[in-house]
Amino acid sequence: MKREPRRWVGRPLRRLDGATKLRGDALFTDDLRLPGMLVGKMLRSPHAHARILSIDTANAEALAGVKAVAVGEEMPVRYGILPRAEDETALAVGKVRYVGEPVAAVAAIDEATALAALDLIDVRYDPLPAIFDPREAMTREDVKIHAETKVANIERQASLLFGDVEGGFAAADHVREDTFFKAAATHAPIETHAALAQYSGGKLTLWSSTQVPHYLHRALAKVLELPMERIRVIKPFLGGGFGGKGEPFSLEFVASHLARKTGRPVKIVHTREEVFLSHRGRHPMHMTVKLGVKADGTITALHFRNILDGGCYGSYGLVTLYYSGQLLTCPYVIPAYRFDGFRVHTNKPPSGAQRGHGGVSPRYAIDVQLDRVAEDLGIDPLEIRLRNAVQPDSVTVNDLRITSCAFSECLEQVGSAISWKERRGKLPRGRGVGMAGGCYLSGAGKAIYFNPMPHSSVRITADRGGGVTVFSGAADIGQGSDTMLAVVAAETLGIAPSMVTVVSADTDTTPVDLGTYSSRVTFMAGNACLEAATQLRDVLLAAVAEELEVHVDTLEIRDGVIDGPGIDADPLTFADAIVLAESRGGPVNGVGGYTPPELGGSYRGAGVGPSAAYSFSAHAAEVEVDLETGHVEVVRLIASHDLGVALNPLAAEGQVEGGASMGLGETLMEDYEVLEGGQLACPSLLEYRIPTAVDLPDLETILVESVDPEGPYGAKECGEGSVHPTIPAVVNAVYDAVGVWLHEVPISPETILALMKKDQTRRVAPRGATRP
Amino acid sequence: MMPLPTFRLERPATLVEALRCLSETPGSLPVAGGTDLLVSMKHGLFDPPVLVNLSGIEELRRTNLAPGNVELGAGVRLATLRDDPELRRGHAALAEAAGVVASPLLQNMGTLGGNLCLDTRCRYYNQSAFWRNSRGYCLKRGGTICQAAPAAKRCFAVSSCDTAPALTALGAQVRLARWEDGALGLRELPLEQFYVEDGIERVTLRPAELVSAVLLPVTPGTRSGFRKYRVRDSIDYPLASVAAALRVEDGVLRGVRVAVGALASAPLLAVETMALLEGQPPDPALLAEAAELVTKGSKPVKNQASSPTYRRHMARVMCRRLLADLVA
Ligand SMILES: Cc1cc2nc3c(=O)[nH]c(=O)nc-3n(C[C@H](O)[C@H](O)[C@H](O)COP(=O)(O)OP(=O)(O)OC[C@H]3O[C@@H](n4cnc5c(N)ncnc54)[C@H](O)[C@@H]3O)c2cc1C
Ligand code: SF4
Repeated sequence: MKREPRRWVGRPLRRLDGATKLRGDALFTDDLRLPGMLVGKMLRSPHAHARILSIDTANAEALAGVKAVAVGEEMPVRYGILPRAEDETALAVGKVRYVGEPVAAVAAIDEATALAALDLIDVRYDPLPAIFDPREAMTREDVKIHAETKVANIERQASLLFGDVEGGFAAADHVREDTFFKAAATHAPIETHAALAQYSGGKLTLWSSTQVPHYLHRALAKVLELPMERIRVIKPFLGGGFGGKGEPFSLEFVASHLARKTGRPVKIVHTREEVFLSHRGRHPMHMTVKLGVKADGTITALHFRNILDGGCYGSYGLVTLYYSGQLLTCPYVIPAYRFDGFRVHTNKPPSGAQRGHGGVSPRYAIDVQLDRVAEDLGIDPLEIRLRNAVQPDSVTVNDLRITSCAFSECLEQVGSAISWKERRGKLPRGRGVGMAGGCYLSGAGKAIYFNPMPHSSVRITADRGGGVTVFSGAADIGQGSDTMLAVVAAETLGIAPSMVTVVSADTDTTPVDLGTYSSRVTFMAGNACLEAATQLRDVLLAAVAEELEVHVDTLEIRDGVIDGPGIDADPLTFADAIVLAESRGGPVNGVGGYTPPELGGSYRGAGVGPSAAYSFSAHAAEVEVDLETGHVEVVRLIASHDLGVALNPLAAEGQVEGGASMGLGETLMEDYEVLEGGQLACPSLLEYRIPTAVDLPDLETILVESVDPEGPYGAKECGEGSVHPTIPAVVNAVYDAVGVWLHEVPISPETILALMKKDQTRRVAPRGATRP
Repeated sequence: MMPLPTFRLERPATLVEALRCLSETPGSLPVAGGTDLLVSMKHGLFDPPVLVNLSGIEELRRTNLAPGNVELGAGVRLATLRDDPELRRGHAALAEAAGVVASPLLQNMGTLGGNLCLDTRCRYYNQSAFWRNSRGYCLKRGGTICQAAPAAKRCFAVSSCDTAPALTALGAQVRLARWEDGALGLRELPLEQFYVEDGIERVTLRPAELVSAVLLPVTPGTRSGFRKYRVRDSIDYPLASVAAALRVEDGVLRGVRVAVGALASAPLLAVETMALLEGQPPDPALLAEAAELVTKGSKPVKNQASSPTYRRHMARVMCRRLLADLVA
């Protein structure tokens, strides 16, 4: 589908808050200071698993400068981002489950006093055996991390069956089964978590670095046992989340509680190590893929088994579990599908949602397995992908509704950009190209808790100066959603984006938005904004039509000027229109909301996976493998992304590049490793190695537009789907370069060397040679 | 951010003043760029009552690059060493090593003296106070066992300063200064004798003694270079490194010196490699054979990223490639 020409949509636009941030004027949570403010600090468990026998806070309380000490019993109400997995308390109650779990907290006049006070808190523990491997935890009935789990430490088992899987494998000409492991990764945002709480006149105000002000608002009400109307949550400027700030965190409750207890504002800012301990990053996944295909490569059946290492609390895990299965029926057509998954507790920091949530690791397994099958059958990897590519306006075997879809085009575009036909399988040893696909939802079809309200709401007001203000609960966490809202409003109202002010993510002043997760904001808040702006425009044009005595349909707003018959002589500006509308009855507003359509099947688990629109992506990687060291250098990465319409191509390219760079980091370096004993191997940005700009290859972005029928101006997501194809594209390229398959990520040069050695022996063996 | 413990900061203007400060306050420590020491202080590894800031001392920043008499003050910034055209020509190994320490930002702050005196590193040691309390302490600080190799009775923390193997290969000496009985005492040592292959002892500095300068021999025709293995090229400590210096005279190798870094608690001279090459023609097969011997003296344990086996493998590969480049 071709899109209509637009005034602002599709034009590269610098983010509206860019200069503010560059100048250092932007106020992040840690920049905020209030009179009388105290510093809060948390005492953390040194044990991976232990009963708490006693906590003696008397000495800490007696220290000069300490204003309050808190322990778990003061806030025993459990919370959790998913109503079905509310298993956390703000501070540990009775038991600790990972090294670093918060046990007690203090508020003091300064940091040094607060830290000294922590040393004076005496906690007695009774250590319990701890488990760090989910495969072990699945069977250890003798060690229960949570008393509630029925079988050993299995939090949830999920089984899904669609179509005739047995028949599919029977009809296959080739069936291949392999196992894959993807290690944990963590978000590593630049800004560490921070919360500032003020309790005044019976009302709590919390400034917090959160992606989900609304869910936080609800959780605060519950845990602090305060009515929602007495709580205000404000998200200041935020320095990156990637899912790591996508749920309520201990420090938010603790700061609020200590503020209420002391009557003084309390700020808690995490150290970098505390960010690593808070985690909620990617689940380690132990995956088994059985894939059946016809001789021509057509997929007949897929059986995917997955054991997810959940760490010690629920977090988003049940959703991760289902996503890891549900999202595999796309972007390749799977006619028969079976999924068996387990989310298991271990004594590690909780795993949760990270950019590309649920799908990234399974995508690695499937897209490598597809290449393996293609190799077995002598089919070109691009060809097998095109042959199985999902098509627009179709329904997957698990009832996902696909509307706009340019997956085949994504594949073809990266294929031609990397000269696939001329180069795959034809480069000198050590050099190779690889490819993979992906898809992701543009916002979850269901809210995290059941409720009938729109998922996003927007209110726009106009002032007589000619400017408009967009009020939205959506949390700009650095991804640029405020700028997106300005573009949508500007396009709809016929004014420049610079005339739009966005006020976002303040539960007192902005309408509810569910938050920044599942790539939902552009699609949902964008749609709500479109509706609100349309309503505002209609109000303005109705006033003008009445004044000029013309039919409203003949009028339009272009570049801040009202255009229509009979007004050529004396042009009316946008501001004039506002003045006219105001004189008819007060302030001029527009409101809008977005609720996803009813989607998906009716089976258990059907609520996770459906979305009003899916993005599609394909990456092609070129690697250079050092034959003596096994070192892999990604020399080029080409990322195509079907995002419906690029509302702002500059921002979209940034998102796609950011996704790909996260994928590259996870492929090559990032390993959130927990040592035996429960300590993190690398709780710092020095040794948890994320790539810097210097470490990245040439990233080339190709934005593919399929014009979504339901997205705002045709737009879909591009922030998370862009992580999906990176890992398998690189792994497949390594195979092309040196002929070895990597079944564990992050890939290590050492493993590559060992596999190359084995491959060499195999090749000289009399009958072994399967590869030309 | 992690807070620093409290300390008094002394800012001497001369070397003698600095030495006196140090000798007068037991437990005081010198600080130059602070890029190593301040991080460790935040981790609770050091809690000195007094820090003696060396960065105001003019004489420590002096360099003399006169032919035949190269002298580098301990206060010289790594960025200066990295960029100096004279050093890049005559002592390339040093300039190359300085250019791969951490990242350019840290090269702007870090000094030569601080780099040479860099504490040895270990994943069980370079951690916060909270972390080490949770894990249990080790021989190097507060404990009775080695967390990396519990059966061993010593510390294997890794010598991770990049300029040290380079300077060892270049045959450098360090000049040490000390305030003794009311007078300035100086001594000079070859770098090999400055280091001790023990993660705890690590250097032969006496209390209140400072590195004041590094002296480099100048032998015309010497070629040298440095190679470093790290996971992330933008910023990372070494997991293995190799430095070599040699001359090709009348078709044979002379003055061959090869050192490996980050595979032990001190930089190690690869004496077997050197012996095999000295006086021989630079034949590729011989270079390869010599490179195989470069890790003979090192037995690293698993206390860093990557496995000890692979780190040693990398040293051998880098050594062969470096030698090949130098004779090319
Ligand atoms: C993120 C990060 C990455 C790093 N990566 C590397 C790396 O890859 N390679 C590497 O080699 N280093 C690395 N470093 C360590 C450090 O930056 C460098 O070694 C630097 O050269 C240290 O110099 P400095 O002047 O900052 O030392 P300081 O921190 O000031 O001092 C270091 C030690 O030397 C002592 N000292 C300083 N000057 C003298 C003197 N004149 N005489 C006696 N003792 C003295 C101090 O008391 C202290 O014990 C890294 C550091 C960081 C933070
Ligand atoms: S090598 Fe052993 S003794 Fe030395 S720092 Fe590491 S754990 Fe401690």
